[in-house]
Amino acid sequence: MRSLPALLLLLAAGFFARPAFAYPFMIGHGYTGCAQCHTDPSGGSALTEYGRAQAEIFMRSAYAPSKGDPGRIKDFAFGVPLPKELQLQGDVRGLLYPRPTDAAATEWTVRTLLMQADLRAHVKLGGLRAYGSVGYVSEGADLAWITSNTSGGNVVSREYWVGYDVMKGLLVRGGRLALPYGIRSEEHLLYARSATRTTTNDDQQLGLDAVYGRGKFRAELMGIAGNFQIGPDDYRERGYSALFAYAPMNTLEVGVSSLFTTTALDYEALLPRDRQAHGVFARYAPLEKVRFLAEGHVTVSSLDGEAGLVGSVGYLQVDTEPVQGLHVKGTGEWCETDHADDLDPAGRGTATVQWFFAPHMDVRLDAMYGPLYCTPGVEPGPAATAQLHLFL
Amino acid sequence: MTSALRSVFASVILFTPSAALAGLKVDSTIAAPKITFHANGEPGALDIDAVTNECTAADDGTTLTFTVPLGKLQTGIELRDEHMKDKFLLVGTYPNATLSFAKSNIAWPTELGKSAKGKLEAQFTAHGVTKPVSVTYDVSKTKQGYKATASFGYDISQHGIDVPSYLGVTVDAKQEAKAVIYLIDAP
Amino acid sequence: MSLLLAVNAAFALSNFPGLVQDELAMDCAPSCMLCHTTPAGGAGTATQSFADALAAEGFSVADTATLATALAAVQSKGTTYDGNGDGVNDVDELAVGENPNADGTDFCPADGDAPPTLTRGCFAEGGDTAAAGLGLGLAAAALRRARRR
Repeated sequence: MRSLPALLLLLAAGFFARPAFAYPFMIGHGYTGCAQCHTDPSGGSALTEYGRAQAEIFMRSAYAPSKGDPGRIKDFAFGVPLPKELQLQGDVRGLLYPRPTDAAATEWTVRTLLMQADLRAHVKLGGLRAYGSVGYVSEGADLAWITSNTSGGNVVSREYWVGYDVMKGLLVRGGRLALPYGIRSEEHLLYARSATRTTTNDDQQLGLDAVYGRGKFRAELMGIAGNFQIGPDDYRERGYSALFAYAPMNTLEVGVSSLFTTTALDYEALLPRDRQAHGVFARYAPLEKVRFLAEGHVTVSSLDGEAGLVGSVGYLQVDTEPVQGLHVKGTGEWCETDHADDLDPAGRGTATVQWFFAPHMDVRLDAMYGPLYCTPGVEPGPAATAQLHLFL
Repeated sequence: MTSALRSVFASVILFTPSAALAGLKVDSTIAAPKITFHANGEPGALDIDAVTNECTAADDGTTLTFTVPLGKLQTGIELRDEHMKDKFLLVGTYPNATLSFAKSNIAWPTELGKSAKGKLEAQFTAHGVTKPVSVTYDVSKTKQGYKATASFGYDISQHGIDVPSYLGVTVDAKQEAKAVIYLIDAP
Repeated sequence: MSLLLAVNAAFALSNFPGLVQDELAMDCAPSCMLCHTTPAGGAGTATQSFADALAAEGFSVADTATLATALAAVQSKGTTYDGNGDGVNDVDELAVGENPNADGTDFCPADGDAPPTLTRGCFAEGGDTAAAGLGLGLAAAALRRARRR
């Protein structure tokens, strides 16, 4: 078997589709929970009116002294009036990345890709709530397809649910939901997200869920019924996912997560598979403009009744904001699928600049060195991407 | 002075500890006072601390009164600070919050390192309205004077303060104040 | 030198197994082990002899249109491409559901007990329109009920 020396990692653009934007660095502003700014109490999904105000007040770069209330520019489509029961949001995200035009990588081009074009809606009538999203991808997000075009773009629906606020701080809902596990963020290529299948790209599942947030605590428990946008039923995972978090102060949150699923036919291994992940996470902002995010998890994968392969995955990220709206981040990650094998763990370092330069807009540059996914033993290589995001 | 008279005098001193504290003042040389007004809210795990390092103490021999100027309170978000002070606390009209109690409610420790803990009834004044509160305290004797840690609950609606609500995010009316203050027994 | 292409975990359920199945009219879609050394695929693991054969005939993961030409080219060259040394061309072997790599499990077992093909989307054969319809129906019913209150 010949080995293929690595020249460069070619990044398949479709896998950068990031449908939800959740910013755990908001802990720097004392937000240990997510429900004030997001219609999903665990983050991501559409923003609330309050979240839109915060995005305008202190997430984006300020070019003039603040006038206080941000005004209508924060609203849907820069000021379209909506009933207070309804939140609408559109997200468009484009990607630039270099790719070779020939197999020998002697010639290169810069490719552009529409990663995301989603419309999301949240309705709240008394204690009743409903949420849904629909969008389009030109590649990837296979697990969220509505249409079934295997050679091109597809309509996708990543999340849809109906829920009820049972009491203060407790929402019970059913539908297709993002799995509650670890720190929810827009960075779905983090090993901690892809290796545990808890990305917000297309790893949502159908299920029943209870999410609680009050005071210093937040927690979520989801019973997983499976992804009914793939078939047949053999391929659907069943199980649970849960997290519990405590904020001893409003600049520190620590938590634990647990996940278990079983399937008759895993879509990657094509074998029966039990999959587990259990771990811890933390967010800490020693200074308002310096935040640390960290996760560490043990993973167990049992294929076809065999003894489980025990691995681990995690990362440490530091996010600094030298001037308002401009984020400079560094991330170090590791991933090991089986500690008993001889392969070195996958490791990756990423440097990121993300600039919220205008209302409803941000641009992001990433430079990374390491395998794209959790593939221990693979020779690392460099890669870079640029993204532009607009939300309405 | 006869020995009997000395004994009586000593007893008076020992059993009237308040009289031995000529006038307590806040001592910022060791550490600035830290006063925190803490509130939860909804939706979700909303957790807000409004913090200031400004506090003075007035001691008339019987009553100890702590005064906290509210104009310098900070919650970490400038716009929120402005709304809190200008729209809800109305610091232009009510610039201070005060807490008063009888000094004799505390068995002030006299031995270095010893502490006194307990609960006492105090009067909390905010927004021009005074209400009784139950204060949990821990006072320990230091070289220079005392380190006092205290907390109490209060309800802003009872003080005539509107419950803050902004774009669907509402702060709880029932809140908690916490303080860590170093005191010196000034002559 | 060859280019290491980041065929990552998600490619395991992307176009390629289905494209290979369609191109060769196989009874089932081959697993990622056709090209990769792990069931989940992944960047840098496409080091099976069949992957080398395709790459040698111009296949590029960045351009799926090269798959058909590469398969045809491999098939046209007989035992030049015989990964397991059994005297049968790799593509001829793959077309009947057998694994052309050394020490590999066949993809489409002769007894017909092949794993069902993964379908994606609510309207694919084997897909489930019920979930999408259920979700929309529940939402509509809940909103109607809320308005009546």
